[in-house]
Amino acid sequence: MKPHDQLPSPHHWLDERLPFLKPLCRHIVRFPVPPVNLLWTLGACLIVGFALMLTSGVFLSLHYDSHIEQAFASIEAIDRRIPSGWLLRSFHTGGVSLLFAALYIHLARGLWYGSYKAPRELVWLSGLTLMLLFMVTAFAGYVLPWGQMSYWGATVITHAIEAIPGIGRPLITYLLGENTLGAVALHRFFILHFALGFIIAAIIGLHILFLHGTGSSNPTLDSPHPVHKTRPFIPFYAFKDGLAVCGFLALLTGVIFFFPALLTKISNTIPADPLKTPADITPEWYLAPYFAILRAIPSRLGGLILALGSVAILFILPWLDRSPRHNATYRPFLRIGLVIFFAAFLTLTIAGLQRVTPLWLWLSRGSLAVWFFVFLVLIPLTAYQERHISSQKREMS
Amino acid sequence: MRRALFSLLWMLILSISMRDVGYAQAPSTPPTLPTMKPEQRGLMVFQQVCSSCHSIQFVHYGDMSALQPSRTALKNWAQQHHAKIDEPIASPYPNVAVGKAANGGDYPPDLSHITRTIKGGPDYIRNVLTGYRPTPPDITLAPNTYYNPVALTHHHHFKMRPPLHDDMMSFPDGTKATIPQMAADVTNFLQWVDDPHRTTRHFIGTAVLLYLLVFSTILFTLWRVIQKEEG
Repeated sequence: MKPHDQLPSPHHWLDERLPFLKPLCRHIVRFPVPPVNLLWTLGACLIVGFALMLTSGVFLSLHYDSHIEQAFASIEAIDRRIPSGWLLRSFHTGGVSLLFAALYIHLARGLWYGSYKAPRELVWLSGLTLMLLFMVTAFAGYVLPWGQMSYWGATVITHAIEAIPGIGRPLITYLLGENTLGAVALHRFFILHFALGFIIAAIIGLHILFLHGTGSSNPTLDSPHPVHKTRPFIPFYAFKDGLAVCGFLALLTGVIFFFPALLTKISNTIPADPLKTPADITPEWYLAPYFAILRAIPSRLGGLILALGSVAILFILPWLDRSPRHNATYRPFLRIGLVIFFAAFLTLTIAGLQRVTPLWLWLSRGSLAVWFFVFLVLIPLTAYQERHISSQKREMS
Repeated sequence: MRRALFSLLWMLILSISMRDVGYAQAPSTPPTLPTMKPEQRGLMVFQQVCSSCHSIQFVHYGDMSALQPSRTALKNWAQQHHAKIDEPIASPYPNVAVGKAANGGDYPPDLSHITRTIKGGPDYIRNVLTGYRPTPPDITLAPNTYYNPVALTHHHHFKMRPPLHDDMMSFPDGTKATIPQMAADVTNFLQWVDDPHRTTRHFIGTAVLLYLLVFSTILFTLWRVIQKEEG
């Protein structure tokens, strides 16, 4: 028998069985991070925000009842008499807005600093997949309280899918489980919302794995004085991320505890009534740009194609922009293009929240044109020109 | 240590017994009236007036324990409406049709979120309740309607009969039950019903913000230390 002091420590025990654990921990601790600015802390904020959503969501699902007669009352019970139910629900319903705000800025940062470029295509693609899944999850979640806006918002989307020629109608009947949006569909939305939370968690893992394969992009790469010095993630960037997370949580706390009316729709405190259409159906702000696209096109099918296309072109962006340069700060045409794209995105967001007027309709159409112009014309052209210049430089030197 | 504890105990016992003695010695002082929050008086207005037509269907009788600590009182109130304490404060009408017929064609709306969902919010409710006026001579009202220049529905021909009258009830805290007083109290009550955890929410929010402030100060200090060490 071994003497007492030679007993293997638990640390050892795990190392023998999971030999990659120690290198993995070492990799995370020493993960070399280039000099990045504050915009690079949003990833950490998103992880914390999502963890908060998942945790609060699991506890909320204990009390939510997806039977069509009980759904609204069960939400009211959570808000009124389940101990701390109101706290969980305000984190869950308020967190989604902050999460999307951080997600869109995270994405804009990737666009501006060329984080989608080789060799980080997988990081970019997994991130876009996450954005799409977030949108589906948020939409499904919004249906669950079965308030007026839940019902009518879901009705608008089912009508949009119905527009697919030939298969639209049978597809919707198949997805909803009945001819109309009703009891079966509500239960399915609940299952979808619940399951997607864990699927998203897995894809976040992949997103981080891909990032650790290539390392973070670097805002100084194209500057006249690029900085190549990296520092280990722990402790320097861990503290920086921690500070950013505190700021993110303070913002979340400020909104959900002191200004909850900013993020909740009044008409969703009224139970769903299929016979009474609300005066204006507006989506949540984070889905508003796509809603504005759906509305701006007179043909339902055309609107659906353009809304899907606007996201699809983001997926092929790494192959549209073949320029060797990354940072838009040093790429004059891209800089202008991205600024007007951000303006167009904001215009679409605001337009999606307004009543339909000719002004907003034409503003959305203009913004949509800008969206496609920037990605399909401006970016490939400026990339071509920059490749040309860099090949000339190489020849000269 | 033990001595300090004993003296504390003695002080506690003495103070309690002194209080009893005080009551016994001065029976002539008038009994102090209980203090009531506006929403507690509003609950009384709801129980005695509003609930004869309106429901608060997403609130249970027992949820009112925040305003009415006596469980027996809540049980009795629920029993009057043939309900149990853990059942919703339902409409007194068996169905919508009966409710409409009894109120000139308009169903008395549920009050669970009324201060949020009604156009004009709590101010509108308070103003409507105090807004009834004698019908001007040039206006003829349809039967079962009441003249209320504040009301937004039916061009001031309101279907709700004036619910409040001066001195129709007596509040235990001695507040005089005037129409403006009761209207303000019941509006407060309805705001509480719409958002019952407001006070707790603000308290927890402040605590969380303070925690984050302290935590981020520590993180910031550590971050600065590391930056300096790196040079």
